Amino acid sequence: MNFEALRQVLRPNLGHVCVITALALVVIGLQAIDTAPTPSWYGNITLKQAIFSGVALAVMLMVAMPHPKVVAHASFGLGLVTLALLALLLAPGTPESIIPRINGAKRWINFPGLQFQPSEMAKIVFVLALARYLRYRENYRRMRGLIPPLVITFVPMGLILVEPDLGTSLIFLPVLFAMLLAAGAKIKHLLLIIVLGLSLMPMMYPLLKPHQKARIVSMISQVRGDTRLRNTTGFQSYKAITTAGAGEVVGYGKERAEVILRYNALPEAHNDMVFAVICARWGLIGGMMVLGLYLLLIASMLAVAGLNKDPFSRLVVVGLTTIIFTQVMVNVGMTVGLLPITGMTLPLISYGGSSLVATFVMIGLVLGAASRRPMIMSRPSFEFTTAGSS
Amino acid sequence: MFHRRLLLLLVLFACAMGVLGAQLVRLTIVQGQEHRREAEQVLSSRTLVETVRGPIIDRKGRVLAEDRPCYDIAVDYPVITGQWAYDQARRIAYRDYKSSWAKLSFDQRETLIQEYRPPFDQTLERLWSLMVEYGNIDRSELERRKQTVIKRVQTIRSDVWDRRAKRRAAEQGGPVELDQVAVKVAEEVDEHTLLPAVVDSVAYNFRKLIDELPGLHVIRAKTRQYPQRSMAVKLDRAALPTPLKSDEPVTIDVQNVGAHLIGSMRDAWAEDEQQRPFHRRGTDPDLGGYLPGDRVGLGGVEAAEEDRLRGLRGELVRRKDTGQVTRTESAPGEAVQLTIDIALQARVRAIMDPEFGLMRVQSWHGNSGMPLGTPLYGAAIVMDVDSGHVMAMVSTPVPPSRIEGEPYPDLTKDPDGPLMNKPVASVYPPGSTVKPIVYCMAAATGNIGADQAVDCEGHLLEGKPNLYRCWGWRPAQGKYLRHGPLSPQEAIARSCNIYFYTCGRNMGARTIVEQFHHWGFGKAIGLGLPEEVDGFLPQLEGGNIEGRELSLPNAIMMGIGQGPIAVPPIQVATAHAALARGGYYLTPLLIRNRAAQQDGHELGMSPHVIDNALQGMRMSANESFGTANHLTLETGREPLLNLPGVIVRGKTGTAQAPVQFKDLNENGQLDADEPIQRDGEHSWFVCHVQKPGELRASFVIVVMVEYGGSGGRVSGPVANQILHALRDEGYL
Repeated sequence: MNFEALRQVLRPNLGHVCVITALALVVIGLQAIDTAPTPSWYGNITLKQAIFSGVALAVMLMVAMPHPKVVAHASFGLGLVTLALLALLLAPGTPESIIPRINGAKRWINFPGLQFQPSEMAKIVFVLALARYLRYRENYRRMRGLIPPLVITFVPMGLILVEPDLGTSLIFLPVLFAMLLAAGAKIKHLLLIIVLGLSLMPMMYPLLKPHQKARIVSMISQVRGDTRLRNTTGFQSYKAITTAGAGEVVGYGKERAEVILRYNALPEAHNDMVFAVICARWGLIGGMMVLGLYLLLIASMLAVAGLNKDPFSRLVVVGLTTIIFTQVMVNVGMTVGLLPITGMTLPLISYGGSSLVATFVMIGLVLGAASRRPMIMSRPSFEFTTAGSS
Repeated sequence: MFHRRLLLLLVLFACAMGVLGAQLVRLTIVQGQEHRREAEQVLSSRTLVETVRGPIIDRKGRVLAEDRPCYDIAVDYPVITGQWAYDQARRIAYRDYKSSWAKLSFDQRETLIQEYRPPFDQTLERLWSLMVEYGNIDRSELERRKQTVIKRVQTIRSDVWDRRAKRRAAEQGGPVELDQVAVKVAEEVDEHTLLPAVVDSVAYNFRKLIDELPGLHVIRAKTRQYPQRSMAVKLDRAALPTPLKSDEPVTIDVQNVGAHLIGSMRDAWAEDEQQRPFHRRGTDPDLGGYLPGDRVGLGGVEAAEEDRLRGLRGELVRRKDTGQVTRTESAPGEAVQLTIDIALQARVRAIMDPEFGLMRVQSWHGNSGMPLGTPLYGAAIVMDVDSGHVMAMVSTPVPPSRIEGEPYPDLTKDPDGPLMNKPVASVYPPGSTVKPIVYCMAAATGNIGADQAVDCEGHLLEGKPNLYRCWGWRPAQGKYLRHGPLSPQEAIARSCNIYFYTCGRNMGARTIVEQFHHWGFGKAIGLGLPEEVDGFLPQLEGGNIEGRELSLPNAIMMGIGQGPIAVPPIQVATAHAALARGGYYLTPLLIRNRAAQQDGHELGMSPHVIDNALQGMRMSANESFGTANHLTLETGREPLLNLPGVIVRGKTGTAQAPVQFKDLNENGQLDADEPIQRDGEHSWFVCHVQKPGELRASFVIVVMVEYGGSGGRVSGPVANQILHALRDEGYL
């Protein structure tokens, strides 16, 4: 046991603000999961989630202990392992017992006693690998230098896209841009790539699966106030908006919210749609409070990056922050009817062990970075001073 | 720089989350109430409780229309087509040959299926024979009903496929494959009624068999019954003109009595649902609103009094969370009482049945246009003078009744106009029937002296013998009848045109039209029936189309009820009732529930003028020179109105009618190759009948026969029989 590392981690630092904020969100999540109607055979999922939280905290501490240098050292190796696992998912002829096909998608690997999604791991490892690649370079300040980071992004992203898991694969792009931005890439380059990418988006539309197109169509019709798709492809979104809006300012309170949610049959209320449960129970105040806590979490994580001097840790924290931010945006966005429905959990609140553990792994990494005092001799990183070219 | 970038990221993230927050404010505060209502709506489940449509009764309380509970016997569509037997046989064949089924060819499978089919065909046969037996219908009738159902479902299916194909083609912008649109429509699975509205005992018989026979349904329903629709009326023939006279009464079966008046029922249209929808946005449903499949009044009183008759559904609202049930009782529709005496109505209908003889072209009619025996159609009204009640209002011919689920023939182009309720919905020039009224109008406005005589020279204008002629002045036929100087009474009795041309000329177009309006002509009379029309008169404001101007020639022609005037017969009856009432105009009443809306006004006539007009009509009926006095037959003269013991006043009308032709090119004009269907004159007869000892007439009878010819000869005998009918029904 590395007591020195543990002592460092437990010594008061900015990372603890992140942990406390995260725990507050977990507690809110437990309450919300308790409110969400679930079939009886799910069992007591609130208790399960509480146990997962304990496990996740332990994992967080374990992740926080290794020095960032060690993590940086291992990141390329981890990257290769992750790529191998992602490739394994897609390999033909794998037995169903190990790689089950659920709803037509191969996303899970069954190990004895544990089922996990390599894509959850891939998000984090991608951040580590990209941070390692970018940490001592500055060629990404030229257009051509942006190509390797794009390649590093597109390989795992493509593999996840093929699973298929569109929602997770789309997280990679904001993370890449946020990290490049933080690392000092030229904004005009980044904007150019974004504009190019956006202009290619309509061409991607025909490649979407029918159910994905249907979700986009139903979202657009929903925004337009067209009610025809409410009972078909727009059902989930309609119910989410209705139950969230029904909470009005102060919410229904627990008992009434339970009744409303049960009879409105909000799908995935404990999981992807948990934000609607929060709004139904605590109303606008609850929803705003949760959004505020996320903002606090994000801000404190960015502050950790800002106080840190180690270039690898800086970029890792920025990347992880962006992952959490993107998940919140997508999840809440789809719940309130601004984005099409895709399977994306609300980090720290949605029911589910792997999501919770993955998020606490990220917070663990942030905590690890925040716990280390800067080395005396460290050179300030990513401080390019060429005037007028930020 | 790194910190600036971090700050930029934080600002970006915060802005994005601000958007989420703003949307959340919109959902919970701006739209919060609406979402809350929708979210809570699912907590309660509604069950609708049907209501009962109100009955329609006649003036004596006899039921003319009512809802009766009944049962419909319905059968699933696959059973009707016989597909059920094939499916069952295939199922069994597959079960027995499961292992080798995949290897069999299509033909081999079909052969096997046919082998298994007979028992199922026998079951179907048993079902059909029981339906024939219990339903008391012919086998051929049952087959016809089955075919009707199949045809209807096939039409629905092809419509649905068409619509889908069009939508798909629009979506994908290219040709559409059949299997993209070939879906099963609900009607191909659902049951269809083959024996509608059966009585309890029949329903019970079927209910016992429901487990043995495939696809059988016994459905609780209700039907709108019209118990007085079909009647046998015994008519005395002793008072008929000699050629039709007989000592033997005749019994005439009349169908659909009062059908025009009472109306019928139809399924709700999209328009009904739009006008008063059941589901309302943002609030509870309107229990009186329309849902698909609701029954709605079609025409006549059923449509006029839809709101009153319809009633309100009830509902059971069950709170799913608490189990609490709130019950809103249904409110049955109100009863609607008519002023009609259905027995009198049936009697008048029978009199106007061509079978009785008066409504066929007869030798004494002098009708040159149509061969003897041609059926004649028209309208008749009996109105109570004191109350303005419409006691009978008949329109012929009567259309066939509607049978649920059966196609109804398109009668809109029928030249006899069976769909029209002619007393209120068809317009005719009133002709000479308005002459007593025109006299009153002219006298009241000072355009003719109350006792002024007018000299009839045969034509109105000196030196123009072919313009504005009297009816007996026909130089072309060598007839030169001159009435000479006539008092108003005599002018009415002889129906002299010159007198009333003079009235019209003296009044001028504007005054005569104003006066017609005053007497209720040219605007819907307010019975409340949806079919009512205004009729035509020249407009006082805003100009007129050619031929209908406010000109002196038109004023002259309107003096004899011709020219730019065409009105429904009910307006003639109402005006004459006002005359008989002594110059008080009262809107007529058909639906007693609307009595409060009945409206009247003084016409401003001096009693002396009214007396003169009525005296003229009395002379017309009672003096030998009167046009309403006698019928000239080959066997000699016979009195036209022969009911003893009453005082009668009469007025004939023979009004030039527009040529009716088949408008092949639909340009509204008669072209060379278009056949003429009807030509000649509409025949009118108005009769006031007064009981002895009373001060004024009790009833006004108006008869109008389309293209019948002479008023006295054609409509007169019909009016006479209606007088007898009033006596037979105890009114005289």
